[in-house]
Amino acid sequence: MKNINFDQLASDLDTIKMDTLGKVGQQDADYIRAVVRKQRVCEWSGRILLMLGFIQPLLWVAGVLLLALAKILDNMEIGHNVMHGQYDWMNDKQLNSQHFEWDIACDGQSWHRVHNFEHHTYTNIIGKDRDFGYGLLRLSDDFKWRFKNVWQFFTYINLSVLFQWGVSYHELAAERVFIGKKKENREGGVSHATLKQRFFSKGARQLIKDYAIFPLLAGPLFLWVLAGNLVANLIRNLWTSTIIFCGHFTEETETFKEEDCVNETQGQWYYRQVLGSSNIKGPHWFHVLTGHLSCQIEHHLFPDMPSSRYQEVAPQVQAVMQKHGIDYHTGGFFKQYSSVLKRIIRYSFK
Amino acid sequence: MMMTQVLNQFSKWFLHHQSFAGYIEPIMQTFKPAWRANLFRAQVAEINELNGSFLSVLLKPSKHWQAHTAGQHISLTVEINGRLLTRVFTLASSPEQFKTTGLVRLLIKTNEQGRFTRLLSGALRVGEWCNISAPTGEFVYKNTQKAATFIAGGSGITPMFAMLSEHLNTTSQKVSLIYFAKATEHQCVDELNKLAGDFSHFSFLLLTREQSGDITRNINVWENPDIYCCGPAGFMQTVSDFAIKHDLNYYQEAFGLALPSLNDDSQFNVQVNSSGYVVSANNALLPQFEAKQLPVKRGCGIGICHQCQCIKKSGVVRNLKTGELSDNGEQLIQLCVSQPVSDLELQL
Repeated sequence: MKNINFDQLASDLDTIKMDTLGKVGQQDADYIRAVVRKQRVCEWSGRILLMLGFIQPLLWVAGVLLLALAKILDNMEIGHNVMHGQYDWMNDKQLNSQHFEWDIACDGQSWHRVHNFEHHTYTNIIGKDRDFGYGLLRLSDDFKWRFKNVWQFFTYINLSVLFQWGVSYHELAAERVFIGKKKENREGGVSHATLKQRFFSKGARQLIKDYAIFPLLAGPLFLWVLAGNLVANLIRNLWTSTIIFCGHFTEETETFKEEDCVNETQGQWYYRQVLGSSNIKGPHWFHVLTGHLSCQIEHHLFPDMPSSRYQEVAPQVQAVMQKHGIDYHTGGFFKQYSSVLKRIIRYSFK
Repeated sequence: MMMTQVLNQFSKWFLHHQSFAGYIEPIMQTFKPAWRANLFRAQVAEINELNGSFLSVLLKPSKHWQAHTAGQHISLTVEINGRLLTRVFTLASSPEQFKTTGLVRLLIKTNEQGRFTRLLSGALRVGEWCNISAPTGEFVYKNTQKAATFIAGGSGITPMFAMLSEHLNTTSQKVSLIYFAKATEHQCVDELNKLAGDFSHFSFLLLTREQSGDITRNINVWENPDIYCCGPAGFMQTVSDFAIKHDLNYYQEAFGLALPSLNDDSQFNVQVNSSGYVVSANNALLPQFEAKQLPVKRGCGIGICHQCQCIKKSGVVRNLKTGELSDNGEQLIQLCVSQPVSDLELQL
């Protein structure tokens, strides 16, 4: 590691954190409730417009976009952030990490258990953070090249298209639950039977809702609604997958070895979070649609800070990194995404 | 009813909310401020500061709220700077008064150091909305055929106001009130005078602890009264011991919390899912619970992942990361960074 004053780094970042958390209040509560309101309006206007496609197909298109938008808001800005506990301080039963559930195939509580712990504690540590490449893609030389990596670009496309199911399967750690692969250090308090039951129950309910109940409620417009839901889910899958890949898999994001992170100090932990993440620049609405994963660095430094504050702290964090001479990975959407694609292709080969 | 059940089941399965009301909550709030699933709305009709840093709050509950029995309490939920804070208060008005005026009264002792009552007069302006629960509580007038003595300490007077104004006209037995408070802090003395004028079988004494020494001295044992007591813990203990000794029926209501100064080896009682345990302040709660083999979830152990989080129903913990003390009311806490500072009630 470079010659960095980690204690000073930790104290600089802690100062930003405490100052910002001290300001959190009504404004943040109003913000997240307003997002929930918009989500509800998009969802129901979307579902209604899907049924008016027979009058004018453009209404159907608008319906698809609104429903996709609703799902994106629900999964990204609301679900992901609420389940991180960012809004627990509100003591609002509807916005509380212990009970929140989202409109996606992946069971929220299973995700909550694995993601916050494995991914956020062990970010980009090879062998510990299963989110690095999701066990499907080779994204660094830490992994041995295998023949299947030759077509990993297509694996990636498939993963994106079916992203909600990928996430669901992945967070369940299904290769352990279904196939019985063992790995110490990750036996949670939840039995495999419970995990399986939650996986199937949540997945089935999502399928029934989007491909049976709402289409049936539409009567003769069954197919319009079914197709609309399918496309909306697809748009959501592509969007979430794209944004999430930009967060950790741009070419410049670094990986870490387990032995380097033993007895890590707070400052070193912060350092790893910054190097292992990358941001995307954009206007306010873009940040909201990414669930503020566009501020991935800030999110990884302060995972339980309300997302409503990430845009505000980002320049402060960047200044601290500059002061300490630490890289701060950021760029526009097209720059970051093309960097991800290059990385996927680059590591297809030895 | 049927419709509500269907909607709730639909919400549970497909809209990911425990109730349909929870799902539409933010939409409803744009039309009806403070509209919340499973709680009643109430509007502040009047708020007055009284002597001895008390607040008198008159609330108008929404029409579905069912009247209480005199002596019962409600939980009051107020949004203060984005946080929903909840505290329990006894209603200081009678069901009869609610029927005639549509209002209920709270008498709240404010505390400059408090995290809730200190902010109340700012948050509860006339016309503002808050939430109340359905009334609960067992501290009610049991038997109007017998003489009764009410003994109140400080804000323990609140249930007495409700019971006296509700029941004095239904009993002909002797009823006395012994009311302890600091010298200038007896509340609503005018009302007590009026009750004493209206009902000759009712009398009251206003006392201070300093002046009277033994708090049970004024109980007339030969009348064999039922004893109703509400006040600080030690106060009630004395009265309760007295009642047992003289074989009198005794009813009490506990409230409040005496916050001890933090000493690392202090021990506290923790009620977890209704079983009791003892914990020490020299460690966070999570490792202590693990040692007791309670069903806790350990995550990162450093306050990041929120996996060990649980609902604290009451009591105070210190957040070891920030050094901050929590509220005394219902809250989510992370066990791995929570040090007990008082007795606690938790739900795992």
